[in-house]
Amino acid sequence: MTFLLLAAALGLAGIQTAALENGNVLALERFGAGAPGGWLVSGENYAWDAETGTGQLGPGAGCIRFGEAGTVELASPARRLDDGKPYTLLLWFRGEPAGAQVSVSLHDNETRHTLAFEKTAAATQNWQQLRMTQALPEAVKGCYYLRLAAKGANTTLWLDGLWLGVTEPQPPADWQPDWHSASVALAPEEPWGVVAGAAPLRYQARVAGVTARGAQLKTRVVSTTGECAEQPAIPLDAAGTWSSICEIHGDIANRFGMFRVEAAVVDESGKPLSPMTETLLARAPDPFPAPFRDSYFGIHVKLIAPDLEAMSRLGYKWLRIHDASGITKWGMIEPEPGQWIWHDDEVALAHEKGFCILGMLDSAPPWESGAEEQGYFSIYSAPKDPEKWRNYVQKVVEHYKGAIDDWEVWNEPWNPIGFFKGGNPQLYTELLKIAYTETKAINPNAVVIGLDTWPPYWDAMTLAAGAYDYYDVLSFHRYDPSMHGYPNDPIDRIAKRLRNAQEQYGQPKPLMFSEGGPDVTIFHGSFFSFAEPVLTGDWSWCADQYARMYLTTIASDVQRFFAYSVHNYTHHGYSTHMIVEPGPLLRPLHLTLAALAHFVDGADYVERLLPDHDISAHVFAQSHDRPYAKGPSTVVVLHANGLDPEPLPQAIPEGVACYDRWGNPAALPTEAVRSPVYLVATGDAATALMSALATNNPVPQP
Amino acid sequence: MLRTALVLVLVGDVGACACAQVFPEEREGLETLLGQIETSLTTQTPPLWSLFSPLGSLAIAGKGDGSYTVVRRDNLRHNPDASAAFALPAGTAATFRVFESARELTTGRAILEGPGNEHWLAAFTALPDGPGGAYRLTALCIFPADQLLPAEAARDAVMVVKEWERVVREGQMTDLRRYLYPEPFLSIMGKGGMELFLYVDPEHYLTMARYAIEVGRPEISEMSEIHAVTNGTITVVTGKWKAPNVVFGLGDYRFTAFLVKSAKAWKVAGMFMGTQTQY
Repeated sequence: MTFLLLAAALGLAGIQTAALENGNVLALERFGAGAPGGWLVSGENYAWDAETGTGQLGPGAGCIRFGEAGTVELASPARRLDDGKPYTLLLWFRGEPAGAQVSVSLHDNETRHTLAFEKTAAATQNWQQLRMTQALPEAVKGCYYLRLAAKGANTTLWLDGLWLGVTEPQPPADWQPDWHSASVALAPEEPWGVVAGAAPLRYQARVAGVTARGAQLKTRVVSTTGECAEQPAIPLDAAGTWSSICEIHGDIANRFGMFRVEAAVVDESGKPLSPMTETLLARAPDPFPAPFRDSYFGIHVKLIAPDLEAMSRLGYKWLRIHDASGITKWGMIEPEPGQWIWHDDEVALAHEKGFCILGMLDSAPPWESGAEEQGYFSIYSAPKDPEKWRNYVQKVVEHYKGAIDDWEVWNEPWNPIGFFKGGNPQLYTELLKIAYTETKAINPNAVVIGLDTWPPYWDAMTLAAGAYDYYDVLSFHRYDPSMHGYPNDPIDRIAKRLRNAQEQYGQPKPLMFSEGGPDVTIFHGSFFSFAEPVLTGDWSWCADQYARMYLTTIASDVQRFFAYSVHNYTHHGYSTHMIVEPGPLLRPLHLTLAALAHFVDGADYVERLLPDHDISAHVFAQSHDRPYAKGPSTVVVLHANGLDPEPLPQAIPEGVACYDRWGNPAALPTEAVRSPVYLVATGDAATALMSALATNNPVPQP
Repeated sequence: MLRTALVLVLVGDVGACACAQVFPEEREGLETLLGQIETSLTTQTPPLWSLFSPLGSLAIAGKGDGSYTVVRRDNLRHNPDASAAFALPAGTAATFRVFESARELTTGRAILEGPGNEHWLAAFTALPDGPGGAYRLTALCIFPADQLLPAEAARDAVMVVKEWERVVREGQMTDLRRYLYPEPFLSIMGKGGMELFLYVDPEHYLTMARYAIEVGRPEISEMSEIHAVTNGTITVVTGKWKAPNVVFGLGDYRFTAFLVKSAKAWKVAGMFMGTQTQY
């Protein structure tokens, strides 16, 4: 029954599912093709291939060759399982020479605690089956993930037949499930699966195992626009391994947004010979040309080529160092007194990919701060000696002068139990003063960003301590999954509060939203078919929320927003601030962001119109040639302020082009909805559009 | 029940004087909203949905038999049955009322008296996000007041609210999951400068609250001035809560919780908090 429900949930039209009473809840059954989408794979000194020779279940086992001290670890996507029911876990394996170790365990997704099926076994030269049956203990949110790890030295390990499912009543000791004869794995050809503009959407499909006469790879594509398209079936060889670069065909391939590619091997009657597997692809509208210092769009990302390339295609133009790379943090670049570590290649790579860099003057090495804490927070104690801090600032600003000219002073100093242990507003202000003075002396063109506030007390107390004269831009953080974008929303209120707070000391300085986002995974959404809403939320909601968070930053006259973060990858479903799927693959919210960046980056924010009290029309003046308009154009981002659709009081005039939240051409709207849409007009049509959207009921300022 | 007795039930022994006072201009706006609620419930003009903020909404209507309807603004707008559940007899008008300020997230309670001398209690929360800064509802709860139960009957519902006090102190926000009404649910937390946190999904609320508690678990979590009104299936609990937190605010909160009895268990459908003092 579980399997049938699972099959229905996966909804792979046209591909029949096996009539097993109790099926495998895991998409990774046979290992020859590799790991299915959503599985987190990590390890060192190993190579994973398909075994074409006959194995315990026929050709198509996974063959893992370990070098010196090789390791490989897999974590399944988190799935809802029935606690209290008896599950059986099966795994075939063997090693040559013997000795490789294989470990399995089932974990509570929320706590990561091991709950069941904890076992480690040594591989012998003969196939053996790890077999356990156990009633599952309760998990916090009812969701679990499976961990499978192996290690060995100069040995080869064969894995096959991974199976987890309800077995009720207890099966006989020699019971074996109805194994699939093949496996499929899909992987995008492009970094993170994303292309920009009209580039083809390609992925690699790998098939391993026995494929019956007349077998085909049957594939369909589902998009975030709601379309679904069967792709031409691909005939497969009779047996062994097969691999090919495939391209998505048909109208669906031309859409902007995200795409889920689902595939399974079927025989000539349509019976599945493999579990269904999937991957995620994305098409973003062409981003505004980089580099672009005035961009609104920032992100935290690792300084490696695929990640930078993917973020660049999405339209992010700035990156903030913080813990995504840490390359300017004192605690990381002077691990011993006088031993400096520079990262010129990574900085050059970021520039090559078109990014501007917000450096961090932050942290202190434990040898200086005296911190005894180990691990991540070991560098986040306040420095003891201001002169050593001064020396660090001089060194790093001088070294990266011309490459990094924007410096934020400390990350979340308002948190004295986390990022600024032993600190206080007075000490922060002293460090800020030193950082500002030295930075400006070395690099007069540098921009110093200060305060990095969240709670009101922090900006009030640092300003009172004399901070005002020692920054060019005031930064703040906010994690908030609310549907932003309405007048006087929280971001707007924060901006007003911070301007008011500065007015006591002088002219309010520009603001920067240097870290934040919708918060953890449940506010991100996932486009995998198996995503559990209780873990990953509603992707459609999250896609609107993310774009509107950037939009309200712009509307609140805040320079830019750096979302946190895409620099680390955990297993699918784990609650984390990382806005990324394992692979790494994207989540839909990056594509609504890409559309917003496509339309408004390079444009000036003019005003918010309120055609109805509960509708916002954000007006941008775009002076650059863009794919949607040659020459100057007016871009309006239209959305309902709240969650419900609101009828537009006047029709949108002819001559205005409309695009959906992904950037696809769309019909002119008659109502504003939660999802932002983009209205583009030039000349007389722009004038008519402004008239149709004119404010009826201005919102009073608080 | 006599009106004076109802007043006591509504505000408790501490009386209205113990409640946070509103400024005259706030009172004016809230009186306007209460007047709109009166006419909407009795004449359906303006339609009740239009009195709600679109940012998030919760509407609860109880009947004399203990049954109730829980809906959102969108349901009221498009589902005539939903809006009909909130209809009151023509001529029903607010008599006693009390407003409490928690900055701009304001709460109010009123006794509505019908032409046949029957009574309803109306409790609401409101934000000044309407045209011209007018107050709009975020939550409204009405139920017949002539068969209100004694305060002891609200004990279990109050214990559910007191769980908030405990879990915040102990950092165990996920313990609240069993007490949250799944849909519709609304929670609004107002902090300094009215930088609201607004949740329409109980899992969202739990996730953020857990994060906030992890970052800055309050050393103090104390509820006081707790007052509850119940008809056995709906309970409105109000009070004061001292729970300074870095993320949500370092102030003292006033709160209003709307609970409904579902499958013999009290569930919180709405939790609204706003700061009175903020730093």
